[in-house]
Amino acid sequence: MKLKPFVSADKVVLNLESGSQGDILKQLMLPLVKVGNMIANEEEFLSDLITRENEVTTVMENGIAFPHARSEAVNRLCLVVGLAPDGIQFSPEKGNTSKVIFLIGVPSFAPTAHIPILQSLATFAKDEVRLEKLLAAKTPAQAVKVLATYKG
Amino acid sequence: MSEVIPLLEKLQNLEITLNEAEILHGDRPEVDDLKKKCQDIRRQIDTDALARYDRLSRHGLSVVKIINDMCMGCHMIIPKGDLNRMTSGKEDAICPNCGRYLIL
Ligand SMILES: [Zn+2]
Repeated sequence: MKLKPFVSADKVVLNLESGSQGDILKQLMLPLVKVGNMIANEEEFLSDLITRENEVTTVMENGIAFPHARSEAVNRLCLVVGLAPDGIQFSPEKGNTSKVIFLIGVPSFAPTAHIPILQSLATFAKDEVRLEKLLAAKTPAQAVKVLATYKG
Repeated sequence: MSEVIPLLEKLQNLEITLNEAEILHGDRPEVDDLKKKCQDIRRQIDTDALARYDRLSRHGLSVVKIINDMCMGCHMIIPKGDLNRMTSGKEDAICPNCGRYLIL
């Protein structure tokens, strides 16, 4: 699954700041709110994300996190890439800090639409060379390039 | 019949979560917990309905939403008359075109 159609420079957050899980999710949601038509209700999406996170963690063993939720509040399948080169604590009970966080919004009427993207991203996240390249991105466009050229 | 649909929807949601967890975690204990939860729900569902659900699952979703009278499984418009009979319980909540369970 090519990631190219789902990544764009306006949906990259280069320096995520540490905070509560809700704070981090809000930083990641901001680009979707700015676009306007992606999210119908911010609070509802945030609450669905946290509910999903509590069901079973989306943090992989290496710390890469993939918060996502199927939500009535999401109008379109969407992806935001967040980077924190120094690592931030996304999930309190998980020891590993997260340097990369992928936020995925899934509309409730297409609840499996994200599965191919999740598979691609999970494969990407196991590729240390690619991860290093992504984390070295100095601009959103550079981050997009690393993901868009990935053929996982 | 229609009373089984919420349970099937719950099962479908949990199985999607299970799929997500398998992608991210492989075979960790969290995944086993989800598998057990799915089995618990399966035990509460009538075997015919479950067999039908599993048959539909092979081709994507078994339980789908309706948006603007459209079945979100096959994207065909469901006639208003059918929808009215479904909501009043006179007709099973099943898409007349693709046979998927409908969330009314
Ligand atoms: Zn249908």
